[in-house]
Amino acid sequence: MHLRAEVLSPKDLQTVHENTLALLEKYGIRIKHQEAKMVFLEHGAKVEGDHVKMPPELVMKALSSVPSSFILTGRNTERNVGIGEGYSPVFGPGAGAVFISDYERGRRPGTVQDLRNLLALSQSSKHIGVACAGMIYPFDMPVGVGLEAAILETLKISDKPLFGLSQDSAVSEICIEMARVATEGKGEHYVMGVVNSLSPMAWDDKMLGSIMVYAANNQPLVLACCSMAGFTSPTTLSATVIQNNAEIIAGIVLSQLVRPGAPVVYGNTSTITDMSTMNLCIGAPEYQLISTAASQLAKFYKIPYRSGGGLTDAKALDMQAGIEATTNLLFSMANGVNFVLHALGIMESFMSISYEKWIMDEEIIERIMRMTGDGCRLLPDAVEMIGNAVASGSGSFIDHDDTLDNFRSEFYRTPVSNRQNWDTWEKNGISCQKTANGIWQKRLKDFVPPELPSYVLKELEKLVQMP
Amino acid sequence: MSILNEISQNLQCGKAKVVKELVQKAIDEGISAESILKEGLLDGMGVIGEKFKNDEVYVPDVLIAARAMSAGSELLKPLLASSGVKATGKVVLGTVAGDLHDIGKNLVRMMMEGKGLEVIDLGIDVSAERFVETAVREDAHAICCSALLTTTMGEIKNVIDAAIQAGIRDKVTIMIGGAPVTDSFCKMVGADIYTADAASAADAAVQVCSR
Repeated sequence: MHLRAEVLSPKDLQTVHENTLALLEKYGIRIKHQEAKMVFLEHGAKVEGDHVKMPPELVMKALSSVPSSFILTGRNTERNVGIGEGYSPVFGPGAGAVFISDYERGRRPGTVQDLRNLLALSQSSKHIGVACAGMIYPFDMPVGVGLEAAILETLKISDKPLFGLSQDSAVSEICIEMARVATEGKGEHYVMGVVNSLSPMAWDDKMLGSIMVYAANNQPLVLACCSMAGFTSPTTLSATVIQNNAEIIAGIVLSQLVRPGAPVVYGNTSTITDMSTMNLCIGAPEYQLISTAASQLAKFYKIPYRSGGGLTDAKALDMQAGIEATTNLLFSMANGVNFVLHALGIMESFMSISYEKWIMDEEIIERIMRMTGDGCRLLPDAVEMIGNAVASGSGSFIDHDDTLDNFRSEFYRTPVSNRQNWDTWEKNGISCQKTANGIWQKRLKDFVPPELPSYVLKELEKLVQMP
Repeated sequence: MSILNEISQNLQCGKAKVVKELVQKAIDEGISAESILKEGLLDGMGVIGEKFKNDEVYVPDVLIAARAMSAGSELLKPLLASSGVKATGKVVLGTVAGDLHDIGKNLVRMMMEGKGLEVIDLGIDVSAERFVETAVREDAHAICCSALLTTTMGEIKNVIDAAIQAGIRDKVTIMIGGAPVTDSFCKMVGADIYTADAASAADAAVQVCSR
């Protein structure tokens, strides 16, 4: 089945693009970072106080140097992923969460052990393409060693390409260095980071520093925005899309001015604001309108696109979680996304990761892949097959070759969703939460971390001990 | 690989024809029918049954294994009878009067046969009297009634009443199943065992027969 979500007509797309250029030229973007300002200035942008105004030619030239795809190298090159045009979407796990929750212990602050557990689940997930160092903030990490130690844990437990940290230029530097050591020169691009604009129409110093460090090192970076329509961007969604586009493009232009051809990914997780609480609503249907428009824009510029995954505002693993995660994953996959962050586990408007939702989100992705995969294959001999089967008189297809040969590939088997009848279900005391709990517990029990050569580990440990 | 092991392996792959040939070969080699049944056929079904419980194989796999089991045990039947070896147990199976559905019931039969039970399948639209007469004549351990319709599940009560009238109610276990049938319905009509699917019906029947 082909799903192709589009929200902007070609004419709308052109208008959004032109409005974006006009916004960047007339009003510019707010930047305080001196070095960044200088880069813009050197390349013909106008700098008026903290406003950087860029002529359309500068913007278009910079956008034209962005690669439409790139390969991200892992410690194990068999796990390399291609991101962008011509590659299947790459999924990353939930990230940036503060709390963790599970069926047995409920919701609590994240710990190092939780990070390790999530890394093991990520390494053993056939859907996750990257090892993400920033899934959960470990509250029990000793003060002062936090972030590098999290990167080290990630490199120890996973050999997938690193989705690293990029909170500021210093963290970006150390993260890139650790990834470089870990991948031992096996590839050109070996760590990907993510930065976020400061809506409305600004980039803060830390993010700008990270953009410059990642670009200078020729390492891929996701430039995203997460504005709240009606709060940090306009209520009218099309205007939010224009503002977001200007913000992201401003960041991308900087990356290309620092190093033309540095790989970047165009990201967007902007959504609406709940007008009774002023909370961010990542499970809102409007998110997919904005995200689909953003995906069209990224394609218009021939830049890989990143969107959100199983996003939900639900606090429990209830129907809200199911509705929101499913519609968000479905539309993300339908809008031609190249990289999905928060594909698994994320809940509660990015605040927490649930172990059980992680497993359930895997099922949602598999269901969508089943629907959007091979579709309905035709058989060369369907007439004879049906005729002979019916004539053979067994009265059912259960023991027919068509079943025996094909049921495993033709029917997707849900790992979590239950298909038993009432009595069995009731007798076994089954719930989706309990089933999912069993699955992740078993995955952790069976997990064997990939090998990390001792000389690499030694090098990495030296970097972590750096002040 | 010993021939009995080979029988077990081929049975697990559902290769009915090969299993039949191997069973004949084993008989010709002078291996006892009881060994062939227990160490060959039932051993293979045991492995499949275990895998089924662990979600490693599914109903179609069990079914073709059961079919291979039947193919092999056909050859053994006369030998087992003459040497006095009894089947694990004997059950009478059928879809109740007024109900023409047989796919689920057939599934139950194949699963039970796979467990080494002797199944007397009366087919569809079976009257209460026929269930009971057959059970008396065959000295069966259990009567297994299938009903797919809410309009026919009441027939199960008639089977129980007929068993009481014939004076065999305390000797025969009455097992029931079918989409609308539930555990509470089972208790309400006074049947003994309700099972939700074919595999658990076969497991329950084996337990009943080994009592």
